[in-house]
Amino acid sequence: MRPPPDIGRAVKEIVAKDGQGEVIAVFSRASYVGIDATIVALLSTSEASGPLHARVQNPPKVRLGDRAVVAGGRLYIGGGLVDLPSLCWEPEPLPSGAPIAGILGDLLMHEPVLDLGSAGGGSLATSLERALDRGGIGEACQGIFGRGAGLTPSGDDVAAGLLLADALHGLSDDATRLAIVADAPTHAISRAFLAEAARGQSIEPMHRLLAACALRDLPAANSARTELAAIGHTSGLDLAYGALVGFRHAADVAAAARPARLMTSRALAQITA
Amino acid sequence: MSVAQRELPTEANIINLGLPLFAEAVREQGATVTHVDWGVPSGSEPEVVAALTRAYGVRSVAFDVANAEVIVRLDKASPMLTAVAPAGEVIPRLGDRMLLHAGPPIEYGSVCDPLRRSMRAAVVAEGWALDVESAESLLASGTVLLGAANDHDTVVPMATALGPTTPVWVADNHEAGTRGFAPVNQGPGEVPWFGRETPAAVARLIFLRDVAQPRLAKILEGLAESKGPLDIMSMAAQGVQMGDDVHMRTQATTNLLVREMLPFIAALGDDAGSLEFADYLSKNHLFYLTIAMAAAKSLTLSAQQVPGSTVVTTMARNGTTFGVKIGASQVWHITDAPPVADALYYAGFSDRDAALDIGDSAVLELVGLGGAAAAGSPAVAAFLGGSMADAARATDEMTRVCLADSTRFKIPVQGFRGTPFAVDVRKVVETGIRPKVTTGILHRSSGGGQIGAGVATAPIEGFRAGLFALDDDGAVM
Repeated sequence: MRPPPDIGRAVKEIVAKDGQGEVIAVFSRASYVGIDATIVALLSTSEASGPLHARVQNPPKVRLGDRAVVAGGRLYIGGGLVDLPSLCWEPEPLPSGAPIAGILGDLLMHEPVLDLGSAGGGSLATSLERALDRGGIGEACQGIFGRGAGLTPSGDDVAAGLLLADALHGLSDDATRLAIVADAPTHAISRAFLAEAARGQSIEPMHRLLAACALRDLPAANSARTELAAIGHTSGLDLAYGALVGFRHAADVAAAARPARLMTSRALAQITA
Repeated sequence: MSVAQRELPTEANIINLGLPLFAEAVREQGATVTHVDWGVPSGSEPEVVAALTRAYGVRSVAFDVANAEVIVRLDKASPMLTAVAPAGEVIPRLGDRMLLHAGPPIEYGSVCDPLRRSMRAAVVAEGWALDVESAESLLASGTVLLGAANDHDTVVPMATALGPTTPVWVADNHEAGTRGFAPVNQGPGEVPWFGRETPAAVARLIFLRDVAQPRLAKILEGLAESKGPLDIMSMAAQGVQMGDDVHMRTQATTNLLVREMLPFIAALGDDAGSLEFADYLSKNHLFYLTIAMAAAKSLTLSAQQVPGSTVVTTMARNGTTFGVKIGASQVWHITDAPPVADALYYAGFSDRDAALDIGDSAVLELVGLGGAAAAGSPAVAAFLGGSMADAARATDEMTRVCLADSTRFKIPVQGFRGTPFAVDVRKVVETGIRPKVTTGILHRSSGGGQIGAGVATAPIEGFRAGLFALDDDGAVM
């Protein structure tokens, strides 16, 4: 059973100031409204929460190109008022310092399909880890932005996972991550989701999966994975894959940052003996 | 192998089908893209797509023949202003204790606040009650019958309640033998058509009946004797070229008419009534509105004589519901009345104060005026986003759901192209583009009258019902 109607952080920010735009995409389960430079995903309460999501009891039937206006804290689409809930969704917090990558890697069992050409060898994860080591989050994301299939291309979903992990670990700052997203060669809807990941939020099952992994709650983690698998063509699992690579990288960074243990003379003697 | 070392082809020529956001993303990246504006019709709903397939398929030849006849009738006939008379003397089937109102038929219990107030004012003016409180009792008891004006060959603006003594314009469409009626416009201020029921509002109805109607009748007689009856749409066509949409703005057309009437107004003399009449006339910039509406009704009545068309022949709102009729059918397809969006409000008011859309004036949009003529009207552009490009977009949208361009209403700023007319229910449902209606906005509950103006967008549900009814020969053919 889904929680009551809510809006995401970005939607709350959008309706806080007057603006206008139009409906830029309509699908059976969600409609996307471009307002100024960002997006509102309008959907029913049977869908999961998220930072760009406005989950309402009876989503209005909107059409591509319908005018959208935000005025006085209200959202109007095609002349009709959209009854936005006041409840603002916040993701489940992660226990600090808990290992996540291990259990997440064990249960994910997914390999994204990106059109990266036929010349490459090795797994995508290896490629991404090397890019992260060499040029950081920027290089890793730029190599995959816009690649692959789907409304949000698979490459963008993986990049969103990388950005989310980076943001949750605070490896780089918000401005750096948002600058990377601003240049992403992709479309407006995907860029909006990437920007929210760069600010540390993604869709609700993703956060639930990470929290379950941190608590080593396998049934909850598997349940969240199942939900992610139903999102988009492969978007949910691609997102989790990116997060997995990002969390592994964060663990490596944390390990590298720990002070090296001093070798005792006895230990040295054992090695050199 | 790093991620960055894997390469896509360096050049690509792209064709994008459907959502434009993908084309825009590719274009932003400097690649060549050809965008094809395509989508599954009508929101991909299977039963609607099936109905469209039937309407555009096996039956399209018959529809096209009927529609061609409707186009000629709407475009070529010249309704003449032949009389102004008490409604009870000319309007068919108007009972002795009956009020006509805008939109689909409605029970008094469901009537919106502005229309209730207007009805109470009309009951008092008709002499059926001494005050509005007594009028409320009569209306609530059902002693006063209510009727949809459109079902009596009549159209009324906003919250007008039309009784037997209300003076109405008579527009004769001699080509088709049809006759349309609309009340003489009440003017601005404390007036019932804006939902007022004050003593001044009642007095305005009495003034129209006792003072304005006999004088207007004299003026029309004078006009007819000197130049023949007024060709209503010919004058409206001049107004369109002078910036009127002949719905929300009729200033130019009104001025043209008053100029024609001037010798006969002067001949009325300088008695108190004539001076009061002149004062009313000088302040009424929407005086031509209802004359154009009567003419438009006579045209749509002629369209209803043609069996088997897919043209929308009635589009009306009563502040509670919105209704359309398709082709020759007398069946109302009814849904909830829409709010008036794209609105400008007087200081201190907002959409929270606004009543739902009301009035029969959308008949003008069906014949190429109003929203269809927005592209040539700077005054209307202010309500559609502010720029002439926004106004042009409104007219362009109407073009996408209409079957023809007018040969008489021309828009100078668009190279004298004709305004679109003959709304095709198939196109409305197929594209999802709902006709836009330029209109006033009334206060929803205070009786404060008009609080703004804007553009209402007709809801799609009535058109869908009309499309499905095309399958029922009895209803349309």
